[in-house]
Amino acid sequence: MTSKSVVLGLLALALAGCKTEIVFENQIPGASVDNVRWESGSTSFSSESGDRLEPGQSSEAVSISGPHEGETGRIHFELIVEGRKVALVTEDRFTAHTNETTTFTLTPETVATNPLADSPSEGTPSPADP
Amino acid sequence: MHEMPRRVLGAALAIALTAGCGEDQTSAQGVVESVDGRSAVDTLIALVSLRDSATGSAGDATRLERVRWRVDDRAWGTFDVGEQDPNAGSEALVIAELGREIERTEDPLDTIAEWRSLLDAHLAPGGHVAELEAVWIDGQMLEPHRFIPFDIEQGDATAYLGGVEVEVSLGGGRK
Repeated sequence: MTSKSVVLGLLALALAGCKTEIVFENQIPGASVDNVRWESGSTSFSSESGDRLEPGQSSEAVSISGPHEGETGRIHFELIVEGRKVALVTEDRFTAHTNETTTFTLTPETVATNPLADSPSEGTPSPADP
Repeated sequence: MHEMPRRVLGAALAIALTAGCGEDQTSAQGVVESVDGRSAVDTLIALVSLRDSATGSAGDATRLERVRWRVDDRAWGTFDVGEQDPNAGSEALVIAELGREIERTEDPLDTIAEWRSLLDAHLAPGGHVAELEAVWIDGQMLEPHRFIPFDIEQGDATAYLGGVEVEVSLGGGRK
């Protein structure tokens, strides 16, 4: 291995470590999560596969583009139990930390409302896992 | 399945027309959908009548203030009966819709755990048993524990329980 290839390899590693990514995780016993996305401003980020997350499952990493790195946003998703679903939006805002892979975890304690039944107020930014 | 009187059909129509309006922020009305096309019943409708256990005569149903239901041995909720039509006779129209129970009004849905419980409480097609666990008459709580079996069919949005007679001591008159 030449010194040039070592430098290129290190550079690639460094660049890989600079990516801002988010991962959605379902930690809600007995409930599935579908169509999960993170909305920052008017932009929505979701995994390309769009697979339904069963309890304990995580999504693939979603890359966050420049202007949205370090931004906060709410998570929109559908909660599914026994063939019935409801669309929900988290009350808390989740932050996509710059140059990190941040896991957004949905738990039974996560505060969420239905857009038709309620209007989320402008909450204060929260840590990734409130 | 019980046949619905015109009065109950009117109530069911009113529920259908107001579903999803989102005016009541504590209500879960109209926000739950079926994923697989099965029913997701969230409303029980019954015509409750009173009978005086001492005299055997029909009681004034407008005295009925509040009811508490259980379904399939799980709490469904406590509901105000609301204003009754004085010409409706001896039956009170009772509409018990998930999301409008008194317990929920005092504690609105705000966590994923509570939304999960709401989804879990919706009734699927098949046989169920409702229990009229308690009624409030003139401010007094009585526990008739009347059991009413009912069926939900594919596509149903509400469950009509039919007429439910409650035998109570009405001797005290209005308080």
